[in-house]
Amino acid sequence: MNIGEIVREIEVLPAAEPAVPEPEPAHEEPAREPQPT
Amino acid sequence: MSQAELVVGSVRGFRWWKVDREGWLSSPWRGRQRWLPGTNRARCLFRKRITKWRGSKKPHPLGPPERECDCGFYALHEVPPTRTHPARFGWEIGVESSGDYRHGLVFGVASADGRVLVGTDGWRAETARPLALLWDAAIELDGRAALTTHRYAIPTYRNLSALVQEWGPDEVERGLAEAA
Repeated sequence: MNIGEIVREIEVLPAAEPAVPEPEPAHEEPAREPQPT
Repeated sequence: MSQAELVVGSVRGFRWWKVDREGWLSSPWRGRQRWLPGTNRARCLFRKRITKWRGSKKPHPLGPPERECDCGFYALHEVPPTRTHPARFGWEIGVESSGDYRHGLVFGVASADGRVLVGTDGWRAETARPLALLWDAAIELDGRAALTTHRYAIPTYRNLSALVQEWGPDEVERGLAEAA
């Protein structure tokens, strides 16, 4: 293949992996006493 | 010492591969270097001596690609035109024939990492990987397509526009071809 005239030389660095945020702790519903129906 | 500009990410381009019966891809015109899944490192294959390709005698202080040589993995910024003139280049056979068993070539997109020489029409790179392939809709899929998909775990497209839209070089990458 013919790439034509060389116009620049580059060094391609891999993009950093995006930081994954820590999952927030799940908010647990307080246990409820069964209500009489 | 290298005077390379730093670019973060990757640089993509269009190219052809030879595909064999077992679904392996290789560089079609120089040395038939097999491409493995993931990153491949280029070797200088400048001249052929009887049956073996050998490196250039010119100094390569940083390894391939060397400005004064022709080595490195190649790709183009644009889909190459189809030419029917007898003086056409091998890569101008027409992407609508991608996957045709008669020439055994498949068209697709590669990405480059490491040191890259960017030209007005394409690039030569130190390391590269196949990203996506085109098996044109007019070409019947055969066992090679399935084997290639299995070996490389890369998508196969049946439509050129979809391949270009989803995997082709973006504006920033094409802008690298403008004179520094």
